[in-house]
Amino acid sequence: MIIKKCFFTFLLSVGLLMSGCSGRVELNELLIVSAIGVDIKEDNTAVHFQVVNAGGSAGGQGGAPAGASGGAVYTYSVTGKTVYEAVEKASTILPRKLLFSHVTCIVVGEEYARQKGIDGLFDFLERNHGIRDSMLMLVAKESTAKNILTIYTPIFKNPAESLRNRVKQSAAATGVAEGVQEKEVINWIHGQYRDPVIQGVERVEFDNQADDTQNLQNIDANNKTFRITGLAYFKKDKMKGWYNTKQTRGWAIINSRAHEMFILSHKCNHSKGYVGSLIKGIKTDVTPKVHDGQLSYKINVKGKAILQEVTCKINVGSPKELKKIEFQIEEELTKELTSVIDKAQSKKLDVFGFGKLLYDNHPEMWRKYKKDWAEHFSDANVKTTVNITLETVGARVESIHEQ
Amino acid sequence: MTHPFFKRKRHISQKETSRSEEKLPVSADIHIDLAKIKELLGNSIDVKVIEFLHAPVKFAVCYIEGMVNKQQIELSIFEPIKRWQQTDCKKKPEELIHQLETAAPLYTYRHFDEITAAVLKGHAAIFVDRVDAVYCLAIEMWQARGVEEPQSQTMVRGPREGFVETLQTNTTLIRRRINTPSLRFNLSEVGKITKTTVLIAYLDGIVDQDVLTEVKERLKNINTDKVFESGMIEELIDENGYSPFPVFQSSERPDVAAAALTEGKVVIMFEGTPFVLITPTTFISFFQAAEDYYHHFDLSTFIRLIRILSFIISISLPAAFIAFTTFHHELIPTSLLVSLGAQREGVPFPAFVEALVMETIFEVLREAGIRMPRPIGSAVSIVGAIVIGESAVAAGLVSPAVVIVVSLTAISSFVSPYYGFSGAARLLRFILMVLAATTGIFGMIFFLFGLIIHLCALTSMGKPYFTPLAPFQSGQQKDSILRFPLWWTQTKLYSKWSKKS
Repeated sequence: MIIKKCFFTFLLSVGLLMSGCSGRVELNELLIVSAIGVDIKEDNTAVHFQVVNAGGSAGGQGGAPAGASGGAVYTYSVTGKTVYEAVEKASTILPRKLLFSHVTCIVVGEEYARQKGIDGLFDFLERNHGIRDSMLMLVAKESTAKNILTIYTPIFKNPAESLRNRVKQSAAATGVAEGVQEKEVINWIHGQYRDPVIQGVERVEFDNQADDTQNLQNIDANNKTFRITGLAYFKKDKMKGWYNTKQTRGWAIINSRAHEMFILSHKCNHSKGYVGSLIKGIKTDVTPKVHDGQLSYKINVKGKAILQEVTCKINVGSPKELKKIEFQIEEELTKELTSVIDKAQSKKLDVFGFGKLLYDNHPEMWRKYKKDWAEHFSDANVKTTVNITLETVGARVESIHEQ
Repeated sequence: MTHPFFKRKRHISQKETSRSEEKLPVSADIHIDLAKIKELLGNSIDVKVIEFLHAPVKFAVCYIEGMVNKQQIELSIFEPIKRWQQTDCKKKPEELIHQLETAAPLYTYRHFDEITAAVLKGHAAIFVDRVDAVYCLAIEMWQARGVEEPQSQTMVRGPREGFVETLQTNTTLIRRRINTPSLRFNLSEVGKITKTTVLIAYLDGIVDQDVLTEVKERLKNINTDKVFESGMIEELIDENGYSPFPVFQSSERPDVAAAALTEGKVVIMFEGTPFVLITPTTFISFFQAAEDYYHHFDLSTFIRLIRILSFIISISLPAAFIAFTTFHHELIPTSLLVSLGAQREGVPFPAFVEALVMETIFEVLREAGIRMPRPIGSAVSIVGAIVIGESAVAAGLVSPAVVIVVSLTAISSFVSPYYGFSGAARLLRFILMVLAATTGIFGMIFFLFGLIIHLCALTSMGKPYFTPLAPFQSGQQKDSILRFPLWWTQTKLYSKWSKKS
């Protein structure tokens, strides 16, 4: 009995102890990949891995032994027929094992997106359990992913982190609050209802020096930073073109992606100047309607505005003027909405998910329209109503220009 | 019942060894008796036999030096007897004993085993010629430590008195707190050689009878030569011998013991140790300090939650650190991962070895801190601070994060009000670390499930150990993890209010 027990315990412990260690990787055996870039190279796929040099990133740490400095990140580039081949080929040039679970963004070169289409990336990204599907997706505007990933950024030692933060920061300007995530793009491409859009990124000033840590010493920051641009629109997985900022903002409002947004209206009566305000609590309601075979959409936008800047001579104290300001903001927003709707309809790309809305509300009509949805989409009648309430005029009432 | 795999075999002695000659009856001849008692107690220098063999009524007094009140021997025994001897009237030897002027209890024994036992306990045995009995006067007194503040269970607010090594003082300390006639101290004796006095204290009418009989039964079943501390008894009467968790609360605070008595628990007290055992006990009671009831309820509840948190930390933090940094890199925020990675650059050992080395160093320092002579204490703490803190990191042996993890764990393990309980966490921590290093969080969860099952299976004196939680009792929740306000349940206002609603 005792022998049996001992044997059982021995088996259990050996089984437990021996089996486990296989998955064990120490932190200093890993290369943390912070961003992936994809470019086209001849007919192949060039994949760039921006990896974190822990010793260089966490500078000033007491534990980091001297000598383990250098740049905060390095970018390795490999070429393969597919992403997976590139990853496997990378093992020949990489010093450590790649850790994909901390990838913050994937940057696709514009040429790759236009010529090859981004569909080829997704199977690897989805199949690998280590990769988060919530990572951001970006298109390098008129550039390559390599250009975006070979730059040292100030403030953030990790450029990928800087990039992600830029997406968050730019929300008020571009309207797209959380950026576009990889899983959304997959849903949009492979769902039957809509065509994807992806945010664009570019370098503010192109400078070959930016890939050198020495450049971080230079006070001029514009040559080592990114700009989040408008959206790149796709026809399924092939990129077709760019939306300008106005259109991007319109897209964000229609898709309820805008949390807050600044707006500058410049219609001052009798005088030059501008009125700037921040719009918060934007709520968008899109309802499809089918009337006599004619498809129409009604977009209802509500929001609250906070007055930020007045550079013309208007009497902010008077309710009449405030109404005017409200009206101007509404006009501006309507312009943004119609601009993106017109563009989308002319390109016949349903980037708003109108098809999905139709399916949700009138499934029988969707089944009818499904076959040539692009045509029906471009023919649809879209009406917009914007209703903005000016909530506060800020810390002062009268503009200094009134005196 | 528990699985036979985990059941413990208990050796119960059947044969009681007793020497037949000790059953010898006392003879009427004082010379024979004195010879006999000298033979039984041997020629120890601390055994004093004062003989008065030329007095009209021959008598002798036998006691052990240092265990009796010598002054009282003189005043209550010698003086009155001397006066009586000097009077002229006819003296009967039976009357001698009535001359004593004392309040101490007097026992009459007719067998030598009883006499030796009494003398060894500090009684003064009075032998009288032509009387076939020996009188024992309980005038024991010895050098004892005064009542001081308890060392192992300190508190900010609360009584400063602690139990001492003398049983009599300890019973007084409890008696003074519970002024009820139903308080009982039942005498019992343990140890074939040491014959240590054990008291079973309980409140008649409140105590759980099953527990009381169980305690008595188990104490009776002990077959050991020696007992010096309550910890030895604890191990001897523990039904879960292999479990690291203590199922007795050992306390040196009279207020804790008194509170336990009023809750219907049994308190086992020992001669020679300030620690009493409280049984039956629950897992949660090890997170409850006496001070909880002396402070405001919201603060006490908060502190209890802190204690539970620190118990969890002290059991699982190093293991969690190992699991996260070697298996589950995706669970660490990126910037922290980078920082941890930077610290690990150049560290030659796996995280498990790092943590194990630091834990071992800490345990060594802790043990050294307890055992070393007081004057060199500062030297050890300096070395400890340098080794643990600075040099191990500077030498590249361990990463700073591991130092933080180990020191946080160490601090957390001191939070439990009961030292014995933190020992369980200390031991389990190492097992958990091995599992975390081999199978990651999977192994940890596997182990923690097993731990919960084990805790649910434990019993203390036949009562469930995890009780207000595992056999869930909603009525007892007001004083388990949380401490509800006392006025919720213990004032008349509340009962009126609850009747109304």
